[in-house]
Amino acid sequence: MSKQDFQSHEIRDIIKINYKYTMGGQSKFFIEVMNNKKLLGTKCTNSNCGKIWMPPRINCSECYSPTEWIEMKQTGTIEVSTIVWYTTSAFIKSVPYSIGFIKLDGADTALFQGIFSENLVPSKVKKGRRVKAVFSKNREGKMTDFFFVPEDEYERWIAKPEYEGGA
Amino acid sequence: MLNPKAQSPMDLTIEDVLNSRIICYPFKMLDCCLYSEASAALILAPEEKVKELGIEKPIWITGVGAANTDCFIGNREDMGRLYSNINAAKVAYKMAGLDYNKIKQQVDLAELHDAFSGQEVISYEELGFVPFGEGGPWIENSFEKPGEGPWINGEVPCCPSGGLIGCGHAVGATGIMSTGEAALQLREDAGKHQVTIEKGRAIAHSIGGPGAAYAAIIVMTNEEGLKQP
Ligand SMILES: [Zn+2]
Repeated sequence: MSKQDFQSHEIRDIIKINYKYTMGGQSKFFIEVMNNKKLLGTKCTNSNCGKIWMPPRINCSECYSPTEWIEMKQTGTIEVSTIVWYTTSAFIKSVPYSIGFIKLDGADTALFQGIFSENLVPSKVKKGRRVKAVFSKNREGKMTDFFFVPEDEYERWIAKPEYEGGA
Repeated sequence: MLNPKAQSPMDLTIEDVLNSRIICYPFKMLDCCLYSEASAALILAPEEKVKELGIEKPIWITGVGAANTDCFIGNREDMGRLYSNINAAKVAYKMAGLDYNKIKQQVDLAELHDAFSGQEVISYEELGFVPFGEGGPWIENSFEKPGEGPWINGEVPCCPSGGLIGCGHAVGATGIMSTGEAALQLREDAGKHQVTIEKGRAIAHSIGGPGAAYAAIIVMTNEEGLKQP
């Protein structure tokens, strides 16, 4: 066939893939969020270290000792944050929203999570601001099952029909 | 914009940047690089080969430093800093016989990893040009003051090529691009964006990886720079 004879006929279509993925050794964190509205971290079992990891690590990244599960407080402090105005299709409906690293009270490391506010201005989510976790009533065992709100807005957030407070 | 090879050559005012649409607070669209596809190459050779081939205007790598910090930002002590930049800079400067505390007086220019405007400002501080917290004032107070700040005619011209924001950010190739740009400057072959070469030394900087945990710094020298103290 000569180059002139070649014709290309194209159809736009979609491929759907059904798949499962596992949270592995950290599954307990997601199960507890989904079923019990608890936030679990881990504590290094080495008595010379004892570092508290949140998000949880199955082995201590500092000394490589195994860790044990501990329940964390659901209040914390913003370490760093931004307000998102441009994002992927999965979150575009929520724009603008804030994300940040939150150090839960007692934890040595910070959790990366969404921060919502009724009046989202940079000063509301700046470093040092206190926040508290709010859970969706409809939970799937994912990070999107909960988010943080400024502590002084907490009562109003958990009064909304789609959300509730943690355990 | 003086670099003819730049992908985003724009003649911008401060107002243009402030008026561009917001991406992630406090970054506006024109604070962010254009993610790009491109390639970059350097020709490296040992000293004997350079002499054997009689290469004109070779640029010598005199210092190399690389460092990592926690990949997960939540593990870092100070989440607004890249300590890998500081460690990589100190290692590279030491190898090159330079002083971290006097680096501003010892180099002619730096090509920094400015994927976002704020990254360039924290790099001024972490690479030792100015103390912590003074990167912002350094650029702000020297605007339109020849001989000061990081401008093309300043104390240490930073990113005279336009950097990643001007040239486009071909992830993986930009570190090589920045190194090549600094080498062209030291050879005084940079063209319209050529800076004054007096000390014969330049810095190329790149960061990458999750949370920009990895930093690499190269100090390079032209033939004249080798003779300088
Ligand atoms: Zn440990």
